[in-house]
Amino acid sequence: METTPRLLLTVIAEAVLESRLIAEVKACGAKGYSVGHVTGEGATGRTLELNGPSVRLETVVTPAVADAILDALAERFFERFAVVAWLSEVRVARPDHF
Amino acid sequence: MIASAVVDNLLSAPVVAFVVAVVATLARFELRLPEALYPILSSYLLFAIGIKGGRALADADPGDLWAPLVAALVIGVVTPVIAFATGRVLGRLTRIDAAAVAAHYGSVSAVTFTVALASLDARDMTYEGYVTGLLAVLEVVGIVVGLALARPGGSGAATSSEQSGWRAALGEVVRGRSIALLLAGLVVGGVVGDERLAPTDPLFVGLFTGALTLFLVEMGAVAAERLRDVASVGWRIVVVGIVVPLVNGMLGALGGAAAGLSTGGVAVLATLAASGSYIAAPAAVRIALPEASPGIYITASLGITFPFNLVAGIPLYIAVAEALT
Repeated sequence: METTPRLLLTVIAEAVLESRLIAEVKACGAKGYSVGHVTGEGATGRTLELNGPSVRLETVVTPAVADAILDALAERFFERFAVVAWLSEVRVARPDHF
Repeated sequence: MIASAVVDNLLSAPVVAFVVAVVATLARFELRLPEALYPILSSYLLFAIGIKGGRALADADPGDLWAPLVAALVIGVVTPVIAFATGRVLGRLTRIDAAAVAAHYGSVSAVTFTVALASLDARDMTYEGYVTGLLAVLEVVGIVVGLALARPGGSGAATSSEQSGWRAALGEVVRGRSIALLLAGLVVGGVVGDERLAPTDPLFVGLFTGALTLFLVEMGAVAAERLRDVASVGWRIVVVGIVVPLVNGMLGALGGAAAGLSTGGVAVLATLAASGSYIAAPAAVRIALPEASPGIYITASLGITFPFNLVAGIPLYIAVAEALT
């Protein structure tokens, strides 16, 4: 089957950012996303469980959309909140979905 | 008299469950309830408290409500200011950390409130049922005033990112799960009324103290984990975590007495004023004041003030209410 290159953007953020994170991702042009709840440890310490587990958001997007999302995250969240993000190259079926 | 009140309170099932859970967790026993149970129990408790309040509200004379409402608003404004000042002076906290602490103490702990109601019920003391409505008022006003204290007076406009953080924090408090469930319960209880609520009593009344006891096992485990952090935040935070509820509790009792509440009502208002939030406030503060250290405000509110109020504060506020009325 023919597949097309896209980028998988994964964001792990503290719980309180969930709704704002989703809003940013959609505003930047992502056509879809998945959210899961995870716990773990990072550079800023363990998940602050009182506000709920951390959010793991994944979205498969074009390079332009990935850049826009990363810029928005950097501007709004990176300095003040516990947020990490990374990109992976993936190949997708049904490219019109992403 | 106070001594016997302390013993009565200590031997109630929810408080004993809490103390046992704290001790067991400190001794490294794995006492946490299954994760899914925490939101189920807290939702149930909030909704049940709401129904109980709404049922009382349906029978209340609207003319009787304004004085307690004014008292709650004044308490909602004054208690965070006191917590802020105490945090700055006794705790030597930065403005931001003191404001975060203020938002927690301006807001209230629904669990502490519920334990106070259970203590009053166990001693056959009555209270105005509409105090649940005051809880919702205090929760919102206290957080807003606390967050406002973080802003240095009149210096320039906030950045757009700060403003959006504020809006998100307010939305979190007003529309968040705890207030929403409480208000939904109030409306359901108020509309349905005492008589027609009878079929729901086995769930919302009969199981209430049992569910609260189970919930406090979880809270004991969570509080004990915070208690371990006390060493790292320093003894000054312990002082803040005990002085603030004592001062605010006395103010709440005076406010309740001035508003003409019954002895039980005064005790409840004192407990509300004395308690610190650890559900709505941490989320709102995290969004609006991400620079503030959660290690400080959560340790103070959940690690120190919550156990203090449960074990010593509530019987003290009841005794003060008895002396004032």
